[in-house]
Order: sequence, then C-alpha cells, then structure tokens
Amino acid sequence: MNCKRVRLLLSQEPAQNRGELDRHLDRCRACGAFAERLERAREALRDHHAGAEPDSAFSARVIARLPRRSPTVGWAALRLLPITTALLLVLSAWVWLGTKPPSEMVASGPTDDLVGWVLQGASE
Amino acid sequence: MSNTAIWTMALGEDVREAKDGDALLVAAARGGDDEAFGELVRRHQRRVFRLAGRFFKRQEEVEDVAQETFLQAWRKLDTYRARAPFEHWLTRVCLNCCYGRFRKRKGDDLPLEYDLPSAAPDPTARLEAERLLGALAPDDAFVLLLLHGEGWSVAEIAERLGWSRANVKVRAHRARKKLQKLLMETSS
Ligand SMILES: [Zn+2]
Repeated sequence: MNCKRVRLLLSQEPAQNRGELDRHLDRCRACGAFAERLERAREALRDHHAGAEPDSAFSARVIARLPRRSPTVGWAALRLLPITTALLLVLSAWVWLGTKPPSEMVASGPTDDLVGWVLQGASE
Repeated sequence: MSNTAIWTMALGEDVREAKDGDALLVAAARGGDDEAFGELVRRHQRRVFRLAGRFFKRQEEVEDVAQETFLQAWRKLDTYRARAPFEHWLTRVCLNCCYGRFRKRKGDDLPLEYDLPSAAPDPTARLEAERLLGALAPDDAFVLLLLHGEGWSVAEIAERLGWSRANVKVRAHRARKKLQKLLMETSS
C-alpha cells in the first residue's frame, strides 16, 4: 500500500483496512505524522465550540420580544368560518324557498272575504 | 396562582422533565400563553446555545441566534406536528437560523474574535480548526462541524437540515477531501 492510498484511507470515516494501515504507519514516519495531524484536526473540529451559556434572564429577553398571538379560540373560529358561512347560506335558502311569494299572498287568503264582508255590512 | 405553578401541579414535579410536558406547554403557547412559551425556552435554551456555539464564537452572536431561534419557533409553532419530539423540531429551527447567519458571516472577512471560554483549550488546535473551516465553502464547513462537532451521521444531518442525503453526502465528502489535502500540504 503506497503513502497516497494510506492517507486517503485514513481520511475516510471510519478508516478502512485498519490492520494494513497500522502496519504502514509503524514503518512510515511521514504517514505517521499525517495521521497525527488528522487526529488533531478532527479533535479541533469536535471541540470547535464557543462554550456560550444562557444567563438567567435569557427567557425573559425572549418573552419581551414575542409578537402578540391571538388566542386559539380566535383561530378555531376563523377556521370554522367557511362552515359557518355555508350553514348560513343553506338556512337562508331554506327560509326563502319555504315562504310564499307576495303575489300568492294577495290572491288568496281572507282579504277578499274581508272586503266582501265590509261591503256587505255597508249595504245592510 | 401563576400558570407555571398550575402546569407544575398538573404534570407533577417528577414528570416535569418528561417530554409529555413539552406537548402541554406547546398547546398552551399556541393559545397565546407566553408564560408557557417561557417555560419551553428555559427547558431548551442550553441545547440551543450549545448548537449555535458550534458556528459562532462571540457570546453576543450566539445570544442573537438563540433569540432568533425562539422567536421563529413562536411564529411557526402552528407548523409543529407532535409526531416528533419538540426538541427535534426546535433543533431544525435553530439549524436554519445558524445556517442563514453562518453563510452570511463566512462571506464577511471578520477577524477571529473569541470572548468565550472554548472547549478547546489548545490555541494551536483552535487556529487549525479556523484555518480548515476558513478554506471550505460555507455549506461544506457547516456539514463538517455537524459531522465532527455533534457527531451526527449523514442521514441525521439531512433529516435535521431538511436537505437530501445525497446533498449532505457530497458536501461531507468534499469537506473531508479538502481537509486531507490541506493536511497533506502542511505535513509533506
Ligand atoms: Zn507512508
């Protein structure tokens, strides 16, 4: 196994052909140095961390910045709006269809009798 | 009695830490209860700071990203589906905030400023990490930090960033290749 191949395999995670790699590293100082640097770089990336911690007032600062949210009931009502509208339409249609048109109201009913009775009463 | 006290009673001291508690708090926060949301912030703030601290070095910047994460979470709370733990959803929101800022920051040629105690006490190792990350494209550096820093797999990174596995795999491969090249240059 040549040095180029060794370094390529070392860079993979997890490194393949571990036994063969170790045998090469035992006798090749340049690759040994490379493996050490690689390990240090990986460690540095693993520890690449600012170590920041929230203080006790952090949540209060977040809350102070929250935009106001309308309560759930409001949202529920809004979500039900199409259903409410549809129900209202159905109800209106039912009321409208179930009512006699004004012409029918005039032609029938007690109105003629009433006129007759008035006229009759007047002639008596 | 405060709302927090009522939840504590409802949940019981022992199960306060339980994940179920998050669901209860999320439901209350969705209804506009900012005290419930404050409790969610306190439960998850350390994790958010830790994650943001992977990408940013100054306390002020980590705090900014953490605040942005929780503000986004508040705005998008209606999109959270309780199928997955709240923590996973919040991690995704946080990663999106970090990613947007990280891309912008990498473009700026800002000096390396640390005002925080780092987990890496060795300044040489710290500079080495900066050098490596500085040589990578922002997306590749971002993936590399998650691979090594968080120890996540390609599949986990893809799921949490909402990227395809192929995309993460390509970036991880490219970042490792570049890492190898940089080390070869300096160790030959
Ligand atoms: Zn060799």
